Amino acid sequence: MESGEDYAKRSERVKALLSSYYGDSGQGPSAPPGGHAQQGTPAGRGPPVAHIGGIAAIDTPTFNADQHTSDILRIFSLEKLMVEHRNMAREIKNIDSDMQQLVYENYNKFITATDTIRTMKSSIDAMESEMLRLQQTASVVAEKSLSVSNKLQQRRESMEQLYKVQRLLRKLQTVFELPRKMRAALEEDALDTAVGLYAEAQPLLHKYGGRGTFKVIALESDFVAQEISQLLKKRLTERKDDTEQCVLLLRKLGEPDDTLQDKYLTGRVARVKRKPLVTLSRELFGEYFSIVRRVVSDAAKAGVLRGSLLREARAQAAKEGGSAVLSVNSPALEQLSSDWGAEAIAQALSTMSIDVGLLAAHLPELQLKERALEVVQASIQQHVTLSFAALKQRVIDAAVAVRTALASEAADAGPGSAGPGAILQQGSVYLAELLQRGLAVLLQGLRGYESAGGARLLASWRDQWVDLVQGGLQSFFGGLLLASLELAALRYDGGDLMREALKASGTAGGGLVGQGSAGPDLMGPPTGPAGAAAGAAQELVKPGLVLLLAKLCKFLEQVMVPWVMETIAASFASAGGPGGGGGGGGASGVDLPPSFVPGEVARRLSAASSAMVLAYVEMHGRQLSVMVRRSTGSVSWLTCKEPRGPRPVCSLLLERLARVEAEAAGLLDEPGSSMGTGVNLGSSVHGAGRKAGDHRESGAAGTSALYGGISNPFGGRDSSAVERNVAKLFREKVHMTGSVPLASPAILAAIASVALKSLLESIRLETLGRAGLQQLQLDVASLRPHLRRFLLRGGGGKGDGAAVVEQLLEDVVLSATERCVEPQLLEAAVVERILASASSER
Amino acid sequence: MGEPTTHYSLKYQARVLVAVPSDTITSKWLVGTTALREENEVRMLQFDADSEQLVCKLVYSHPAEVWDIAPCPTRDDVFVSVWAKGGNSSATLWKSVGDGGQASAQMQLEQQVELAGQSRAMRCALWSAQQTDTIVTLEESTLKKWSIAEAGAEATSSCPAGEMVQLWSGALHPRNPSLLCTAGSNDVQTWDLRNLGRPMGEIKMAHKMPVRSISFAPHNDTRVLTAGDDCKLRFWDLRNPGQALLELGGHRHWVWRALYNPVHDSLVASCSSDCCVNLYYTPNLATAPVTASATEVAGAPAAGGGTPAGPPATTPAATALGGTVVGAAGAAAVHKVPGRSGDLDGKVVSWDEHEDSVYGMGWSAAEPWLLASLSFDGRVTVNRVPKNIKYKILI
Repeated sequence: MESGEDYAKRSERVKALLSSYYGDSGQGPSAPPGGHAQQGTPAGRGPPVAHIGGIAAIDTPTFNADQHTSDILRIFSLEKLMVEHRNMAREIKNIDSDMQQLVYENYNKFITATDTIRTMKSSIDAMESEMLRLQQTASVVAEKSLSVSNKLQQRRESMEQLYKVQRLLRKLQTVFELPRKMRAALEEDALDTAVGLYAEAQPLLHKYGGRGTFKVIALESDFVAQEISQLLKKRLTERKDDTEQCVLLLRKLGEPDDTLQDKYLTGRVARVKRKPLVTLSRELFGEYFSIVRRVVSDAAKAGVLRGSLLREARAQAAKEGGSAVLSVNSPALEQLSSDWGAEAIAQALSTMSIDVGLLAAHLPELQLKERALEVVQASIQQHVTLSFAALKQRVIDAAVAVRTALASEAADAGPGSAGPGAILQQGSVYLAELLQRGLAVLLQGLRGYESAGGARLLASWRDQWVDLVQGGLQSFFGGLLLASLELAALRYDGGDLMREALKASGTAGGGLVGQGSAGPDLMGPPTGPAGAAAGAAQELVKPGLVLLLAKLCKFLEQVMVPWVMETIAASFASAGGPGGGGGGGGASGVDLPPSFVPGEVARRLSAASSAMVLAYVEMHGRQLSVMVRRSTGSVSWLTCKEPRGPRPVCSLLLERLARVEAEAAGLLDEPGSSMGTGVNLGSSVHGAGRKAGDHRESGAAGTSALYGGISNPFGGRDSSAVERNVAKLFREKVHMTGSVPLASPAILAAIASVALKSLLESIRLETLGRAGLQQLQLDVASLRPHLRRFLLRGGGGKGDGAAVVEQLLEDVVLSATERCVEPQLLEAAVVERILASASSER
Repeated sequence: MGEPTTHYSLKYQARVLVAVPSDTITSKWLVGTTALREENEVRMLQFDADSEQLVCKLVYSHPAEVWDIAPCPTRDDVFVSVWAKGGNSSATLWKSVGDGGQASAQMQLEQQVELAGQSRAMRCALWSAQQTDTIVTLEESTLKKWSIAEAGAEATSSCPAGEMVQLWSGALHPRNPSLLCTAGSNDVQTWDLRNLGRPMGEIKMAHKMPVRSISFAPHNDTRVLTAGDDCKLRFWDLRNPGQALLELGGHRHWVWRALYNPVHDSLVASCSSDCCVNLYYTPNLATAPVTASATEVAGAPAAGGGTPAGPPATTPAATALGGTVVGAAGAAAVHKVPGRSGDLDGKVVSWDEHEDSVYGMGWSAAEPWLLASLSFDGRVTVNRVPKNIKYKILI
């Protein structure tokens, strides 16, 4: 162990010494061992460290051996000296062996170096011969490469020559193709191209034209050039307008004709003279057409005014005011004539187009025929549009007049006035008459275009003409529909009916607005009482007016649309046969209004009509609702006294209903009316009527069962609920949804339903005492016979509305019983007695 | 339609159905019966989506008639009921006590505190979702704000509704805890809950007949929906009380409740005494620009209240009544501006399964496409929003 340690120490030292010998390069690796040595030193060389503390270290360069010895001798004790001596001896031995080792290692290295040098010396001798061989090989390679390149040189030269030949041949190719190209250009009538080609090749042909193949080419191309020049000459004599061009081309062909110059000059002169002439006539014709347009449009306006009697009607309205305008016998309605100016316009336009046709041949640049056709189309379109707008305006005016009359009627309320019912009736008859006559004369008037020599005028665009008339009709109905809705103050409310009614106005509405702006142009702003009343009557739309408009829409849908369909089929059918109109309409382009779609128009009108009926019901229903609710709220139902008779609200209710009935019946149930409302209730009412009949039969039984059920609640609690539900199962479902047909019993039933439902709802919010319940029982009992009478009046009017009303009457009592703390109904006999005494008191 | 509907029948007549807002996993509703002479009850119904059935989870006995329920926004075992007995009505805070763990649906209610009003005509109770310790009770002529604590309830402030105003119902703003809207007579009033005293603003003549229901839009801070006895639904911007944004019809009798869908601004449902439940889809109105932030809401109605409210019956579309139809086309064009899908705002479905007036209605708090409605004869119906509308909204 000791020896191992010693050996390790020694080798460390050797390394350190070596590194110092070889310089700094060994410093890095030797550093850690150095550290190690320093650590080991205190253990192994404890004494030297101790004594070194006093005296200079041996390893320092300033070490003085003698001094050191004397110092040691002087300071150390014998014992210490002995130790020092031993140490010194050992160190010296160590150093000796180290030195020995170093010398040995150095020697080793020297031997290795000598060996290496010897090896190098022997290798260099062999290298010389190798280099020589390399040089020889390189010279052989250079020789061979030179010979190869010499051989290839010949080929390269011949290739270059061939390339030159190819280029030459390609140039010649164009020359050979010259006749063929010229021919092709000639056939395509591109004469200037042909001439250009010929002119380009001319110098070449001139130079070599006398030899071999070139001779053929020259001949051929000359031949074609000959042809071209003949063609040009022919053209020169035929066409005057491009004389110069021909002459120029002929010159290029080298035509030696002296007359060419003269011809060129004459052509040039003609052109210079014609140009201002054409410009002038273009301006003149522009003015001419605009004058024609203006005159025809004035004539159209005058004709439309004459036909529609719009001005007269307005004047009459301004003069007489009120309901007098609405007389069926008024001149403005009686004298509606079929002279809407169509024939005059047709004659004028046809004269114009014939005249223009004569001139067209002389002035081909001006495209007179096309422009004339444009003018004709635009004029006729304007006339048709104006005509329909005027008629529409008259209808709207009439409706506004009704509104004005109603408003002034309400304001006066004098005994001498005819009453709102009369005004409505008058207005309705007037409107129907106006529509029927107006449309008839208008369509007849428009047919004037076809009779008076206009047939030729329309010949080229008959399909468009038909589309035009049909589009006019379409927007006429659409416009009336929108105007009615506006007069009734109905707006889009998210409901299905209004959605349907306003369906197409997204697209057709745009056209309407456009026409609206064209309309006032004709008629001037709506003035007089109509305009003034518009502002006044705006806030409050009379229910009666809404009903009238509903009827108007229904009338349009059921009478006017079918009639118009027939008329169209008879006289405005497209020439393309069945279905051609639609196709023509679709294909005729975007600038024309869409053609007449009766199905859509009828659907929209019907929806609008239904919506207006509902609005009418709602208006009246709201009034009655408020009334019923106020009266219910003012009674303290829990504590009120024994009833003595029906509450006054019942008679008030009946009175209001009677007024509504008068209004509705007066408007809707006139005998011999062309509206045909009774018929149009249609299948929906049939089904409903049958159901109502069923109910009627079980009516008495149902009532008694109901009353029996009411006495039951004192029995089982659950059983009453079950019974109630069972009873409900067998009853007609009280539904207030769906549309209300345009007939007075149905409308009345709907209004009564709203009122009764309101009563029912008000009662459900209360808690009733016994007397309160009995009061309500009396109310219902007094209402029942009157309501039945209302609803059954007017012949077979047992609509489903009546069933709903019966149902609601029962429900009111039922609900009251449910909300009553002491549900005890009066005997039927007692009810009758009280009612009888109450009526006798009155 | 075409979608399956689910029914559940209660024993007695009923007027109240509210969604339970605390449960956002399952669709639950509370319904209360309104039988005058019977022992009434409050039931918790849960919609089982797998079997498409309504299941009665809990039955609470509640002897008095239930006229309104305000469920706690955070717990499903606490609610306030507005009840009536013998012509008097009041409100009570209830907590359910059960034997826990038992499967029986019958549970007992423990009265926590009665929120007695000043008069005997309590109409409606509202529980703030923002400040869950705040309850507002509406009587016919008084508003009262309550602070709920463990110990009980304390009326922190109250004020009269105003002359000639008969309150019917109200709604608390979903995000602004101090904004309250009430429906009183034909008008709508807005209140600041921090300082009850006078209404901040008013929509005069919001409807031609009494207003029955108010609902705040879920995302638009100033938009409310009102419905009333005039059979109409109207959309308002609270900053512009003079002019309704849109009026929708389609009902034939009084509309008792109209509610915004809790998630989608463009879906609105209404129920009416014409036995119908209508669903409206208003993509155009819902996408109309929103400029107000929640902070502006409080100030805006106050400013609006000072201006005289114009007659709401006339809208600008009606002004151009002359001989021409330009106005009509223009009026049509106002509502014809197609939305991104080209749909018009309007009614999309009318569910008419009910046989009696429908008073109670509530969207599910858990699934935005479910709507429950309750008719007076005790029938609860759950309807789904039709698929085509659903896809229009989602895609």
